[in-house]
Amino acid sequence: MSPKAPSLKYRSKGRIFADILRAVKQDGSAKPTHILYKANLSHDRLTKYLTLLEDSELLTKTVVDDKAEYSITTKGEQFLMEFRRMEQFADAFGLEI
Amino acid sequence: MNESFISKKTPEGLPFVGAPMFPPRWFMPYDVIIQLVMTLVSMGIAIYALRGFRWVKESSLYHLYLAFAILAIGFFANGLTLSIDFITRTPGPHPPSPMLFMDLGFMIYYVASIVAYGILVYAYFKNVRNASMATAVFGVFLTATAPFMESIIIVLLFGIVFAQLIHLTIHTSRSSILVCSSFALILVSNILILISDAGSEDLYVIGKLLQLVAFCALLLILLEVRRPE
Repeated sequence: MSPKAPSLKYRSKGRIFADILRAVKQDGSAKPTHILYKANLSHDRLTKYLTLLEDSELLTKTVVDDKAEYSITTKGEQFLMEFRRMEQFADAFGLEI
Repeated sequence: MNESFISKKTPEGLPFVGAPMFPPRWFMPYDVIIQLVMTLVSMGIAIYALRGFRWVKESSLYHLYLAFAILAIGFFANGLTLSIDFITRTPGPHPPSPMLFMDLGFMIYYVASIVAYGILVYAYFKNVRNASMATAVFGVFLTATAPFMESIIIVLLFGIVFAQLIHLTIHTSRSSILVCSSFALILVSNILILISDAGSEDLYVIGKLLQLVAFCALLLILLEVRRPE
């Protein structure tokens, strides 16, 4: 019997933002490869989302020894808190975000 | 005392086609209060959903905002026209003019409810074709047997409750049970209001009280999710 493939579920932009922010928050700061693994994204998509998160001031980028590291901002923390609340709110109404 | 403020029949005794279900006169002030409570709760949910949409840019939250904002407009228009008619009119038979101020309020309420519940049904069923089909079949059956506007609202509410029950089988939480129960109560209340057209004022009153209980339950959910962590 062939192993069952993991179900592929559509992730909204908001959820991808939250997944990246959670990955960064877990360790205080994180390198792109770590975020890539934790948030389950391709390199191209991760680059696009990291730029978006930086532009939205949810993440800050610091370069140490030519290597980029990301850390979450206060606004990013607030986004995560709001996302959790909205997840609970939408879930109560039987809607997914 | 228990006599309807406005009869659903014209002075000639002919049924007023498409007439909404009017409350008994004694119940009108309470009805206005219920409409006001439902307006405030709906506005609260709409504002909270809009706030969430601004943060996370999710279309489902925008649909929730739009639906409850439109519902609030409908409840407010209904409550406002009911109160004005109650204050300015003396009890008596339906005047010859078919379009009263209160009729307009009910019409706004019905249209707003249809649009709002329609948006919610769309939000639930945009990816579920079978469930939409079930709702459509139920809709055809109901609209063929009952007054048109109220029937559409009942069909849409049936769809919403159906979608929430499906969601409950996948993920059960206290909040989702409460929201599902609220919409089920709103569905039952609309059925009772529909039946009240056959002449029972008590059913109208029970229906409205059930609606109030349902919106109070929705208010509980709103307060719960707004609570700081």
